[in-house]
Amino acid sequence: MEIAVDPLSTVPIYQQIRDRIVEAIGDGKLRRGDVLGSVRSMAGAFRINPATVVKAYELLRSEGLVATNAKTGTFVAHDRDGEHPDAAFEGDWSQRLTTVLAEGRARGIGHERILEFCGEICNRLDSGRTTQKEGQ
Amino acid sequence: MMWTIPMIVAVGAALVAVPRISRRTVPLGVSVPQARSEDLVVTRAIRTYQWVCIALTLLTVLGSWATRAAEGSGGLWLLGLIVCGMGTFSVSRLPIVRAKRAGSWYEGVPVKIGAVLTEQRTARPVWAAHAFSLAVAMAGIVIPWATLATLPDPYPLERDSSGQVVRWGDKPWGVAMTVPAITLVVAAGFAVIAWAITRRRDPILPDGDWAKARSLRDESSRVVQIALAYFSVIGTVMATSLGVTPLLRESKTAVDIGLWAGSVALLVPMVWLIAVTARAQARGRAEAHVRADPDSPDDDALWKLGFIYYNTEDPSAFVPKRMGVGYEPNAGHALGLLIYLIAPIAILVAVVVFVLG
Repeated sequence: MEIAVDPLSTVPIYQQIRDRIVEAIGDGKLRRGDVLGSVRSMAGAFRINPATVVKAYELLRSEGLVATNAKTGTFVAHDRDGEHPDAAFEGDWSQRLTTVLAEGRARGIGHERILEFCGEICNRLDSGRTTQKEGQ
Repeated sequence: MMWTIPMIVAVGAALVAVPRISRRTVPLGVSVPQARSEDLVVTRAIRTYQWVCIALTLLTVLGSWATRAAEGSGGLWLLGLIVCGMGTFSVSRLPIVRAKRAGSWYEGVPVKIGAVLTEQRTARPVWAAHAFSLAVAMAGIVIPWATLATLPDPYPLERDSSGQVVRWGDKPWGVAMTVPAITLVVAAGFAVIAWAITRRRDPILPDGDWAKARSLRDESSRVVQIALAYFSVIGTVMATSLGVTPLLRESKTAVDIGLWAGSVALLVPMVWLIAVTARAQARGRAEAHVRADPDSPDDDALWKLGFIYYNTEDPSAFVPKRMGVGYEPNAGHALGLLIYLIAPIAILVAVVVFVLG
């Protein structure tokens, strides 16, 4: 499974790595127990400081999506078939979603179009086409 | 003595082939967007570089032939060709650098860099070849040890560039076993490197086509493993032969034939590597018109003079070569820097000891 980052983006690299991994878990490309590349190997592949990868993995760990042990390294701890999130997560997620949708409305995207976007994105996640889109 | 001429021709051909074995978005070691890879400035710079390299190679062959009577001159000519070739490379790329800067070629161009996140599938080492190398190296230790009594005394300690013995000494165990022991370590080293490469995660540079980038990466991985196996076998066989030649009480003709055969055997993988890489890159060029994926990032800042990788952030001691296949040291890493410092010193020592005597 591959991920790609944009080194020129205004989004920090650690955030991009975190986002790509979340997307891969969301569309089912990554399943619970899948082992992720080591910090050094991922840093070498992206030609970046290992601290950047550590930051991405730490973020995912704090969100409960990955875990680390001494034997296997970092692995996926929660996938889309896992237990339902608690109310606190849903509240926070709903708030972030509200901001993103409000941004669309503020730019003039209508209600119907927003629903279309949401449907397309959910379909892509269900069919596992989010992370591999670039590689097809 | 004239075994250096095929070596000179091979090195000259490799220099001329550099643009053909490079990714098309890195002509002469300068990152350019794929849409600019056929730009007039680029093609003109490549043509100039290639013609200068052809002229330098011809000059070196003629010079080597004219001074063939002088001991060690062939090696010096070869060294001169390599240095001049690198100089030509560094100068020929400048027009592309200037045009890229003046025209802001990367402005608005989407770029990405990819990597395998989970378990990756890479070409496996050719274990049979490495086992054969280790067996030959072990035989190189067992044979002199078993026949130590029959070894010549005094023992040949040093040979000139034509393989003839120039210094003799006492026949202690250590002397007789040094070359076979080093050979065994080198054979084991090749096997370890082949295994270590399978554990690496290399960048996937899309160059406008992810699928093609993946295909090139897989092909490069296979080529590297085959080349490692070949170099291991040839190197072990040659070094072991050198270790057991005192037992054979060889003639000058036999040594000459051995050196020629060894040189040709070492040239084969060089030519093969160039041919395979050029063919793979040519396929990428042929499909250029259908590309629509992101470009690779402009990483010129990480490549000093276009071919020396320097990145203190990157934890890798070795990185994939920018031109051709294989790996090269990262000068921003302590181990890589050590190699960059030792390599010229080793070459100078080799020239002084083996060529200038």
